[in-house]
Amino acid sequence: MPEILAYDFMQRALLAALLVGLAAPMVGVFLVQRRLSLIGDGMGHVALAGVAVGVFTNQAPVLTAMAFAVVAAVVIELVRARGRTSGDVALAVMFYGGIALGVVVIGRSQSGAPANLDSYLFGAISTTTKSDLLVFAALALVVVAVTWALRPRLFAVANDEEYARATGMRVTALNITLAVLTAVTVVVAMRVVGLLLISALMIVPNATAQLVAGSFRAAIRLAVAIGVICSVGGVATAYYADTPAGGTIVLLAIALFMAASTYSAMRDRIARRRHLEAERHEHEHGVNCGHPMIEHDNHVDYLHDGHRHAPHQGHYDEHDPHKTPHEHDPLTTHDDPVRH
Amino acid sequence: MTATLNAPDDGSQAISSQAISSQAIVSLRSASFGYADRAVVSDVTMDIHAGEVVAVLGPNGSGKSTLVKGLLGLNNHLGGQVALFGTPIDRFHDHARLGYVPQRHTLSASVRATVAEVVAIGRLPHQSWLGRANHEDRRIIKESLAVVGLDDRAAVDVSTLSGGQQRRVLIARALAAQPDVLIMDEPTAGIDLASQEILSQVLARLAARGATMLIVTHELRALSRVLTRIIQINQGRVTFDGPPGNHELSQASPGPALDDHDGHHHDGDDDLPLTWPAAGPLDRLPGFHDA
Repeated sequence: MPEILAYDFMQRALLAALLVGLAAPMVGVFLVQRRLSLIGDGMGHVALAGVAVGVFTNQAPVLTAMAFAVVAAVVIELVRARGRTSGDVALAVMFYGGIALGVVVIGRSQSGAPANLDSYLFGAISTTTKSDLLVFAALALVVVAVTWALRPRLFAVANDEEYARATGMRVTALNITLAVLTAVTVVVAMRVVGLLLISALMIVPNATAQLVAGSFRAAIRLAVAIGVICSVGGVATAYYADTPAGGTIVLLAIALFMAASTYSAMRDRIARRRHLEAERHEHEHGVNCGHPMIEHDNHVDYLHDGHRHAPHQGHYDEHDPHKTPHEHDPLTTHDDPVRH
Repeated sequence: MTATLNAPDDGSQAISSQAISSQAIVSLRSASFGYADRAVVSDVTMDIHAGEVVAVLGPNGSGKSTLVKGLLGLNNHLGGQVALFGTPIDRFHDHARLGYVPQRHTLSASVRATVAEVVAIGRLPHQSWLGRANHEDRRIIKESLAVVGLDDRAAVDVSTLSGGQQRRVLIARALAAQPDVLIMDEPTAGIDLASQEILSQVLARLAARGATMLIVTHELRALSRVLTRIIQINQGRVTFDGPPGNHELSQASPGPALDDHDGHHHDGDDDLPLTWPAAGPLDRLPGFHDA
């Protein structure tokens, strides 16, 4: 058994990291889709007020933080649903009010204010107690299960709210549910990455996945994989490098994002170089268009005046412009060699 | 504007004294719709039956979008009687029977979504909360894409398609719900001529399959082949309701100036309403649907 697993507190830390890495990107993808990437940050601010109230009144800070964050989540959605321009300002007031209240109340409490504040703002994963872990595990599993069950509908609402409403979906209820899931994730993750960094774990793995994946389904899976790798890998790295776990996790996630950006930029450049758009024609190929169809790997080419048009995004590509006709399968008849 | 009932001279007013029709797909009696308490379209009386292909015609801001959005429950029903498939609208819950094709210039590109994933949204009303697309759902999605001629693009990121192709994706999404009537908001607005031609072929194909359609538009050219009826709306009132031939006659005679229903080609955001937002932030007023 590696040294890192020999300690109870590290076992608990790794398990907590695994749960957070799983839940945060799953919820976060819908925030990215709805262009609400920063909302988790705001909920974290409000949760801090909850933590402070818990510390001050000797309640469990997790529970009071949860209460504050969930109320904030519902208020956010109701303000957004009203669609007023002043709503934006109202949210800002709530978020800054939350963090200010948190700082002031925690400063008035007896139990070592600065250390307490730090552990919630930036995470203190190695101090996770067994009972904390049980609560986190249960909450994280609820978040994962509910998000999975609602996934198609959350996707539909975020994709086109008006259409979802017209098909009878309970759009406001689904949006509030997503906000509450976000709030619970924020609280579950606050001991791992801290309230100031939690939003990063919800958003950055998704940003990375969006660069690489080809579909929503693939992107969500990739984001969850990245989230787990970063959070578990970050905790392990922090143990060996003696760095704070929260910051290490987020830096790891950003490193992966930058690697993916570089990869996708290079891939696009290569694709552009190898890519020859077919001549523009108003005619759109289709099953009955009269041009012979050639099944080819995972797509269909249309034989057009002796060269092959492959559907690509909104236009047609010349199929494999760099290959000579002889390298193609013999299905094609090349009576017009101009393009090859 | 007068307070009296508008009386189109084609005889449709004769049905207004009757009760709402139980056979009609859509049945309205002196109905009005709007936002908050402000009626945008009022005193609408009509029955739409299976197999009809109806254009709801009118200048920007006339209330034509408000009328169809009212049928979909997207704004407030402020008066009169409205029945869908014989059920009063406040008790109607079988929303999948109305296939809505919203007016969109582009689909959201905040995250990747393939054409098939967007069309699959249309199947959701037929799936349970824990259910996922099965073999039959996938077959219907594929077939819907084939009808709009996009079956070869199922795996493509939808944001890379042209505006006209995206419009057809939205039609396929509506078809995937297997609706009994298609309700389209400006399907041909803002797309180039070649795409309009393809779109009108798609509409002709749907009409040939016997689809009932209610199409909001401000230009008839792309639809002329398939229409069976025209409803003209001006300033929130129905001013004509009848077959396309009679509509031409009514337009030939001197009457109220109708600014842009033919030949006037719009593109981009030019055709956004000037006076009243047909699709805007006001649509999100709470409390009318999620109770």
